[in-house]
Amino acid sequence: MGMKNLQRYYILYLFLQKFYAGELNRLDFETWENLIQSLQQDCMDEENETIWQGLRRFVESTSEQQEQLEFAFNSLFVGPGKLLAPPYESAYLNENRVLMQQETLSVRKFYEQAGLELICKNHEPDDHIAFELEFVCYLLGQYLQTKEKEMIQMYHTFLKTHLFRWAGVHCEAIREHSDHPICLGIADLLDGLIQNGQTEETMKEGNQNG
Amino acid sequence: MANQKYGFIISMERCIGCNACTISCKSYYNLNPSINRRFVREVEETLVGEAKRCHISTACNHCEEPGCAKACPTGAYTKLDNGIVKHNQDRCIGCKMCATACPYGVPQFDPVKKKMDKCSLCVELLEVGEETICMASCPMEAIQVVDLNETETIGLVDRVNGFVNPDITKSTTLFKLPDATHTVRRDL
Amino acid sequence: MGKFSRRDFLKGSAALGALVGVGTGVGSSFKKTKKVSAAGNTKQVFSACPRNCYDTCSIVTTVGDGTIKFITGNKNCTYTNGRLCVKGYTYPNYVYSPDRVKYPMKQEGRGTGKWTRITWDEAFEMIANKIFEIKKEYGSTLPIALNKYSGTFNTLSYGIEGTLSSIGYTTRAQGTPCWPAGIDSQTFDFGTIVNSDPEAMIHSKYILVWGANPAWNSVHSMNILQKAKENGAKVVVIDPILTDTAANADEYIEIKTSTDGALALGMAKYILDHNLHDMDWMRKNSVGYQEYLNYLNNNITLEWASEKTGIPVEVIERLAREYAAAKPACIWIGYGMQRHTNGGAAVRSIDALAAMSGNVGVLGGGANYAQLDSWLVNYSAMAMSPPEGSGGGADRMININNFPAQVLDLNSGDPNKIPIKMLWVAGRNPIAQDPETSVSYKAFDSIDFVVTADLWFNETVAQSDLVLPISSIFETWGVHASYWHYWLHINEPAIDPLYETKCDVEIAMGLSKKMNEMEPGSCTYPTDRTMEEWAAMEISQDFLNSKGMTSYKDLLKTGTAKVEGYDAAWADGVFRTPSGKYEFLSEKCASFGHHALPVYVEAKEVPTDRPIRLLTPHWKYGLHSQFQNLSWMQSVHNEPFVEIHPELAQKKGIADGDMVKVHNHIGFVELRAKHTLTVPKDAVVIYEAWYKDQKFNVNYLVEATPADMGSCATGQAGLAFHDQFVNIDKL
Repeated sequence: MGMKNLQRYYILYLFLQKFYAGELNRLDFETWENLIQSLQQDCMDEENETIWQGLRRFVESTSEQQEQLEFAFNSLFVGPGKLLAPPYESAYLNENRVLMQQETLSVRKFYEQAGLELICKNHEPDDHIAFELEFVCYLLGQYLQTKEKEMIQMYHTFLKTHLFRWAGVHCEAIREHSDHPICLGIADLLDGLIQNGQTEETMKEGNQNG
Repeated sequence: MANQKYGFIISMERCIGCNACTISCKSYYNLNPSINRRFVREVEETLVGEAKRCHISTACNHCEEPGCAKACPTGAYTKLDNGIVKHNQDRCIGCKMCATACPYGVPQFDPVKKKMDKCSLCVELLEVGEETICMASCPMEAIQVVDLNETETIGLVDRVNGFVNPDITKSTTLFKLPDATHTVRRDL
Repeated sequence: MGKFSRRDFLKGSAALGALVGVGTGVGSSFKKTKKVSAAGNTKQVFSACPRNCYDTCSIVTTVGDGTIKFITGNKNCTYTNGRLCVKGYTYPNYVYSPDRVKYPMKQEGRGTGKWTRITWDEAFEMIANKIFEIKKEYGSTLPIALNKYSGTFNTLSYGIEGTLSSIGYTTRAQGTPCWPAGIDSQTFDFGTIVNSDPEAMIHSKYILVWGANPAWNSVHSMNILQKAKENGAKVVVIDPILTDTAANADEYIEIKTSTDGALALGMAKYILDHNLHDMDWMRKNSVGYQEYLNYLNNNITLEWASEKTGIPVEVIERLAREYAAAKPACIWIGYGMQRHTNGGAAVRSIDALAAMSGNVGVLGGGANYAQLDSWLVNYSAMAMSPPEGSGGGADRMININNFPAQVLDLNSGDPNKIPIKMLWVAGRNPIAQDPETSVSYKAFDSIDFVVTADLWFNETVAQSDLVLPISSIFETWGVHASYWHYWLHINEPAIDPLYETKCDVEIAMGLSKKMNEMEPGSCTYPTDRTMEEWAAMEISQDFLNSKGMTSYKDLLKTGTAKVEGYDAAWADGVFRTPSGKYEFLSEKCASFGHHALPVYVEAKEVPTDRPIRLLTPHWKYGLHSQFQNLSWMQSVHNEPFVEIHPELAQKKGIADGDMVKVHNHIGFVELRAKHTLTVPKDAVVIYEAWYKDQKFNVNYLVEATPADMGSCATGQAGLAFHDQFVNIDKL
């Protein structure tokens, strides 16, 4: 996989991480527009149509919609009501929809194997998507900077065994419960990244078999 | 050891139909919300004498001739010498044949694991001399897991009106039926 | 993590600069670690269930990786024998549900669902500003009301009362919806409520369970009843509903609802006529017995009692004979039977029956209702004094049982009335639980600012401006007592508080800090104690002395210890009445507008246009609006229903499973009908509960009808929850 692709993914994961950390909720519209514009520029080489669909949704979102983002965001991911699209891995993978069980703990273990632990350990579930995305960015960033193979291997394994295992269902939940263009765009971005991951996986297997 | 034959004795006289067994088992085994390993059902109000509230709490009945084992195409079920009908989830392909074959509807499909799931009689706890979760958690002490070879069964029955005929698969669960309650009802 | 800041590898990126400018950097949520969590390292800590329940269980929580693995009962407590109940076993689901309220949030327009997340600091500032604004405008904090009750009985949760006391004189929802009529009865008769240790029921030869359903609401006492039965005791249940308790008893007597007093008086009359009463006990220990016996002689006949109760004369005779002959015989007086306009009077009649038959002060006997003697706690989180110079003079009490109507009255615009501008809700879901739901909504609308502290997003939170996330009992300290058994439990935190949740005392301390920063001296709540210190302060020296303990740390070893001396309540013959004796004739009772004697008070008349009585008892899978909302509980049961006798159903053309509309002059609910022979033919039964994501709320049908008693001991009359009448139609 080319470095350029990985650089682009880094930007996309970083964008998603900022979104899920709630840090894009209160941007003024101009900052938001600039951000989206530059994101599009960074994605010029992207071929995945779902990702582009997401980017277009961002471009088309109006300032009124952007103002309402925080409300839509909270009803999907934060509360105080029943979460319509919980941002926790265990909410999907735990059979009982219970957090902080073995699913959460295996994410914690993964972080620990990379030498990291959450500062808010035991206060916030380790498998909140914002943490998982931040971890993905960390691994990817480390690799891009140092070219340490271990980092890219961990990056691929983490996506495969964690983020990509549940993010697809999570995106479905977003689509089912929200009509906010930015939230829908986020679901597209995530889905597109999962699709790319699958394609690359297939190609890799093809190469190995060939 | 070889002669042990584990099985349930359920006191319907003691059971209050509270489902503490179902939930504690669900919690301990971290079961999918859509499935349970124990089932508390209402039975005919006129089961014994005058009408009253009646419940029957059962799990897998660890049958002598388990329908699940006969039906399973992969041999995932084994009737062990100790009486337990063991389900080997590694072999299970989630085809649900066992669910159809079990007259009690015991095996449940776990939609996440895509495999069947059922009561293990907490064999790992029994082996270290502990009680099964349902037995230990029942606030009425209505559930017992015993060695059926060593247990006095006078006063116990293997069948309950309105519940599945135990002859089909030779269920090993025994019941103490509720005593009749004398009731004085208002004439209206 | 600080080193990871160079991003040379992304020099060409347009978005990076924009993104880096937003929020915190990558890796800032993490720190470096060398350790890897080892599986299987677990510890056990003692927790305690704080729910409004007879059984108040001590819990053993198994913790691994900083998370709850499993919970069981604490075997050190002989009352529960190491077992919990169906509700208790759901706690892991309760704590780790993704749907908990996690952060302080404010709503842009109540009921709009437009929530934004704020910090605790912002939340405290919002509240403080509102308090200061009110104080400035009204010269006092009286326009601030607290509506708090039984969502948690952790004694540290009284910190919320303390919060309000520490800012000045405020308005309080006073009273209790639950049990006050019976408390007054026992206060008039005995001087206060003290029941015999329920574990002593094992010594009883005859047990009358009168209007209680322990099979659903006190499962550990149900086990004691079962053991007493197996010991040879006869268990008889008197109830309008053939409950699961009745189903496990030797005998069930269906009584016409709200006529319990007549049965007690009829039984007493038989006992008197046949000289089975205990004249010696009455002479020695009571006052007014002659007047009581005269009343029985002159006013009561068994035919009359039979006519009232619907129970045949010969059954009343047999009951009375059996009860008087069996020594000891015990009566468990439930809360259900006092939720009537004559409920307090009925409890007095039952007390009198126990007393005149010589069953008071006897091991295995008693007229057992409730107790608070085991609450050997200091209420240190609650007892706060107002800041110097606070306006208003004293707290203003309004009736918790008619709260919405009283708020609407105060907020009607009358310049002579100080309105309610701000409401603090804690440990309650009043919109779901108060009667007359539609009035509740109007009352909320009339209040400027509503703060609700809760774990769950319920109807009340939906109608609030601000929600404060509360920690579960597993995330904080606690000291817990029961109003039935005599064990005192300590609760140690099992895990760290999830998200940004706080307990009531932490909220009090945070608000106090903020208020004093903004206006020094404006709040008296201490801010310098840890939660462990608060818990330690809560346990009284009397308790420690009685158990030979030197500090709360001794209690941490077992998690629980029993307050001794209550095997047989009132065995010393020292009553807490004005006369020091049992008072068949109570001047105090008369001073509250009732008859001085335990006479019969007629039941509320059944209205002709709504001839079907509606009974709304407690539900086995929930406690008020708690537990039935959890996914584990939903896996066992998730649909409200109305129980109806097949004969009544046939008259109405309602088949088993039909959707029906139950309605009256104030509202309606729609739900499925369930045929059962276990309910009366002239009543229907709907169990109160909050089902998540469902509109069902039985309180749309319940009027705020006061019970006869309650104002003496609790300040306000109780609620006649079971004097409600409806019609039912197939949909």
